[in-house]
Formats: sequence, structure tokens, C-alpha cells
Amino acid sequence: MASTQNSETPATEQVITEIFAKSLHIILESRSPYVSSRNYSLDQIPPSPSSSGGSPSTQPGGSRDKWFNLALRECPAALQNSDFWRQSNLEPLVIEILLVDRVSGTEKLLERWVVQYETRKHPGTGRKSKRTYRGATLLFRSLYLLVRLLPAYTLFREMNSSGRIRSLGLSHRIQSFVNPLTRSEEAEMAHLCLTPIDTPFGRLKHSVSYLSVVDDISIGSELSTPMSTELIPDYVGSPTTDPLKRFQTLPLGGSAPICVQPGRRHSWSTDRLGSLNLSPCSLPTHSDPQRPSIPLPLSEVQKGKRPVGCYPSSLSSPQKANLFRCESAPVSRDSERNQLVRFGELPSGVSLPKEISIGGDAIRYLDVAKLPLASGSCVGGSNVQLLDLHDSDANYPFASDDNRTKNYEGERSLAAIVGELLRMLETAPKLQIGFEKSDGPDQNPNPAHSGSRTAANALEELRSYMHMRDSILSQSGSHSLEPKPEKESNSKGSNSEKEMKERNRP
Amino acid sequence: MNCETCQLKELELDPAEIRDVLRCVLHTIFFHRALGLVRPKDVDCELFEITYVQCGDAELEKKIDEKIEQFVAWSEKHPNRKSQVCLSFYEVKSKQSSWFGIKVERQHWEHWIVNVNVHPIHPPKSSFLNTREKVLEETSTRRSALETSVREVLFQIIKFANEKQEHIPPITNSEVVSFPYEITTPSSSESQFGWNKDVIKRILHSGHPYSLS
Repeated sequence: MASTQNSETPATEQVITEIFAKSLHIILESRSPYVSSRNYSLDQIPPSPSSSGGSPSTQPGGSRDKWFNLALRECPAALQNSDFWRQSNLEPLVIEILLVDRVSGTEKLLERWVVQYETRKHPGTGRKSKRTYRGATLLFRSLYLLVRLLPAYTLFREMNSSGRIRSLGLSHRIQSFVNPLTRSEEAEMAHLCLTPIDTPFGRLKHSVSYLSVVDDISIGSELSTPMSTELIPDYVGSPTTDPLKRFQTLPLGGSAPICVQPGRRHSWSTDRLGSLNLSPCSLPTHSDPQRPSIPLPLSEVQKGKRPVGCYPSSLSSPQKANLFRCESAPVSRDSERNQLVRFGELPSGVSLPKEISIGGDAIRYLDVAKLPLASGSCVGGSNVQLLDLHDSDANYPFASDDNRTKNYEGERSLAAIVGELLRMLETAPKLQIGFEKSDGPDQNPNPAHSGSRTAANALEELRSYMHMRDSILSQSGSHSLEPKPEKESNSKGSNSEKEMKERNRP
Repeated sequence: MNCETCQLKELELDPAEIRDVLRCVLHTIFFHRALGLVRPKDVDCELFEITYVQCGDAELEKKIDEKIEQFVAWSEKHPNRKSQVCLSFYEVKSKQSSWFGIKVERQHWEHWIVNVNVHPIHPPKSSFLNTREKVLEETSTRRSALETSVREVLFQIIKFANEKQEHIPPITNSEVVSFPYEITTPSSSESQFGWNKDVIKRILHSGHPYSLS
């Protein structure tokens, strides 16, 4: 048993030793991920193998778990380090909680807990061991609460709950000496001290220095970690999603691309990333002027929490191309998430308007470059071009050919664009990922020859688009919108349907 | 033995927030004063990102909920009023039998006064000036401020519970809640002054020298 230099009684020595152990247990239990004793049953607790004799309390068995009348489940992280400081109770127990970036290996000090025994200048004026035990009982109530009120607990809960491997992680370091904090750490850290526990010949002090604001660290670091990206040339939405909803949900003014849609749920959606959002520590509160503001009201972003920016920042041309294409081929959601996570590599302080403009630049780039998109998303001899999003009518990601959509006195109508879409679907070749060049625009691939499954899917989409067109037309009440391309698409669609029926006839 | 009183910072609550806030505060106080063997139970607030701790005693939880419901019922009848919920710990000093029955003398040694100001928060009606988003933003701002206040109250409890220990009587039983207690809400003493009159009367009759000065 570790001993103090003074002549503390053996009972007091044991209490002091257990105070160190319990402190370590309580702190690591709520800071070491994947280890938690929340809402457990005492019957499930196995007896501690390192229980050291009976305690002055009335509990039978004297298991360490029940010391100070605070029953905790075993904490492996604490057990591994329980003997580290037992060499002498005179040495402080320093527990540092670190936020570790697994990719870069950098560490950020979140908390520093110090438990230190100090000898009394005038021995004999302290309390008896029984009073020491009771003082410790009261202190550990406060300590147990305190570790859950500090900001790092939110990080711990987040990392413990999702179970997925993150680029950021919580780690701890146990020392028997106190490294002085740097000036920056001193400036950004708050300090708390609990009332010391008096012993007959000394007293035990518990103190903590903690980072009062952890929001930007966690979120910024998480997003700055590059994940493996996979560029998929065919980027379209799911065929089951409502394509016209995409038209409706894109905000005006050339805002960010598809990832902004509130109704669209992805693996990177903010309901998952939203859990990363941390409420700021209140004691003391620090204002962070570098927080990027995200003015767009995403429905998935909870108010009052910092949403994670998922908007593209700097995009390379292939990536830009990947964002815009017709719905002829699904894209892997993982790759989509990867790309959007990469887009989150924002320099601190970047505000959304810059990102919006970058998105607009990307759009303009595509417009100029006329990038051919894979899987036959070309339309009638011209490549897919995006509408100018500054146009009030241009809420649609699909480009429209000027010759086809600028009809009826140059007005672009919703129905015309829908008709264009239908025509694009009809003329689209069979769906194959990896096409570098599309077929010639004048070709009219017969969906019937591309496999019954592919044609059936296309026809199903066509029917759904036609239905949506009808519903939109009926809602808008525009009766003059019966453009020629729609008639062509109807005829072609009916032709393809006839062909399919003939093929499917027994 | 001294009687310590802790006045907690006033919390401005919407009626919908009463239960969550009072549960959080009262359970935190009890966790500090239930010195029997406790199996801590972490509980997440419903409306805030705060995790508090309960003692894991079902009977205590039930009693707290009952008192909170009393307070909620009272606050519905008396809206827009400042009020208090008082948690008091006492010792049973003597039991005197009289022809009325057994008279139990209680000596309080600690009072925790939870100050609340319950007033319905009416969000501004949506108009062309107040968009839905703005209304949500204002509600969120107010909720965040309340969360900050609740955190401050919890820190206040930790500080008080840690600093004041000398007045705590010795533990005489092995139950989870070591000391007898009572929770006083305005509904239990319907008067113009609320519960204050009863508490003051109790303090005066407790027989402490300092209280008579």
C-alpha cells in the first residue's frame, strides 16, 4: 500500500489510497470511450479482483466498487492504471484527457484533473479517518456530477454512442507530475477546485482545468480529416426519389448543390452530424467569432446547435462534373458522403456565402466547359448544360438545351423542362457505369434492346415523370404548355411502351 | 447545529419546461445528500443537453414526481408568478405524545430553495415580419439561455454541497436517502405569501440561537 510520509494511521492510509482510486475510476469512466457504467444493476458487477480489505463503511465484502457509497461498475481503463500512482500517495495523480486526431496524430488537451495529497503543517489538527471517509463520500457525489457537466462529457457521449470509427478520439494520460500549461492553454481553460478532504495529517485536493469550449475543435478537426474518396462519374439521385422535389427544394440564388436539399437523407446527413454539435460550456462562456455561419435553414439542422457545413469549398473539375448529371444512374451514397465530407475541409472562418459562390462558380464552369457526363446524359446533340441558377425559374439541376426549352417566345417553362427531361430519358442509352463518352446525340438507342430490366426501369421512370408533369400542369393551370418536345416524348414513350408490350406478350 | 440555506438562482420557465428542470435540480440535490449506498443513474434532460444523476431509488423518484405535479398544477392556476420549491432536510428530535397524538419535533438543518418564475412564453405570431425561422430562432435562443441557467444552478449546488458539510448530521441508517426530508411547494400552503410563511415559521420554531436573533 502506498504510504504517506507522515504518520497517517493505516486506516487513513487506506482511505487515501481508495480516494485516489475512486477519483481515477469516476473520471475515466466518463472519459474513456466504450466503457460506461450508466444505468446498470449492482448485481451485474463482478467483485473487484484488487479489492483491498474492508472499508470503514458498513458494506459487506469491502469491494472497491462500493467505496464511499458510490457503486460503480468496473472500469478497465481505471484498473489498468490503478497501480500507477500507488508508489506513493504523496505524488499527485494527474489525469489528462486528450482529443486525439488519429490521422495526424495531434493531441489537444481538453481537461487536466489533479488529485493531490498535501501534508498538514500542524499535524494532529485534522480529522479522524471516519470523517475523512465521509468527506470523501460527499466529494465523490460532486465529482460524479461534475464530470458530466463539463464539455468533454458531451464528446465522450458522442464517441461512445455511435460506435463508428472516427478520425477523432478521446484519450487519456496519467502522470505523477503536473506539466505547466502553456500560455494559450491557460488562457482558454477554466479552473475548478473542489473542497479539500481533510485527513488527520493532511488533506486531499481535487482540481480540474478544462477547456470550456470544445465545439470548434471537434467539428473542425473531424471535417478536416480527409477520408478516402471515390470519384464516381455517374452522380445522380436515387431513382426512387421524387425528381421534381429536387426542383422545388433547391433554393434560389445559386446556392449549394444537391446536398442542401432538406428532404434528401444521406449517410452524411445532419441527423448524424448534428449529434456532433455541442452546446457551449456555460462556465465561463466564450464567444467564438470564427464560427462559420450557415444561414440556410436546413430542416435537418437543429436550431441552437452548430450545424456541420457540408457545402463544397474548393472543387476540382472532375468533382464538379460529378455533381451534376441527370438521373440515369444511381451513385454510391458512400462516395457521395465522401465527397461531401471532403467538401467540408473548410478553412476556419469561411462563411457560407463564399461557399455558395464557389458552388455557383462550379456551375458556371460546367456551363462553359460543357463537360460530357457518363452514361448517356447528353441531350440531343449537346452536352448537359446547367441552368443559370440566378434565373428565377432555374431551380432545376438539369441543364436544358436552349433550342428546346427556349420556346414560346423564349420563355422557359416548367413543363418544357420536364419534357426535356423526358426526352433525355428516352434517348438515354442503357445504364452502364464507366462510360467515358456518350453515344452520338443523333442515335436513338432502343431501350428494348438494352435489356428488359433497364428499359423497364426507364419506362417506369418515364411514367412517373409523366404523372408528375400532369400534376404540375394541373396545379399551375398553364394550358398552353403542350410543347412539341413533349409530344415527341409522348410518342416515343408510347412507341417504346408498345415495343415492350409486344416483347412481353407470351 | 446550524441550519444552512441555499438560495438557487432564479430560473425563468415556460410551463412545458417545469418538469424537466425541477427533476434535474431536485435529483441533483438529493444525489448530494443521499449518502447511503447509491447506484447512480445517469439521466438525460429531455429539453436540454444536460445529463444529471439520480440516486436510483424508485420511491424517491416517485415522490419527487408527485411534488412536481403538485407544483405544475399550482402554477397552472397561478400563472405569471414567481414561486419557490423548497427541499428541506431535518432531524427528528423528539416525539412527544399528547392527547392529540404523537407530536414530532423536526429540526431542519438544511434548506434548498429553488426559485422559479413560470410564465408562458408566447412566441410572436408569424407575420410577414416574423418568419417561422425567426420564431424558431428566438425559441432556440431562449432555450439555450435557460440551459445555461440550469447549468449554473447545478454548479451552484455542487459548490454549496461541497463547501457546507459541518452541519450535516451523522448517518443513522443504511437507506439510500440517509436523512428525512420534505419538499414544499406553493400548493401545500395556499396563502398570499405562498410557502414562505410556513418555512419561516418552521425556522423560527426550530430553536436555533441564530434564528432568534
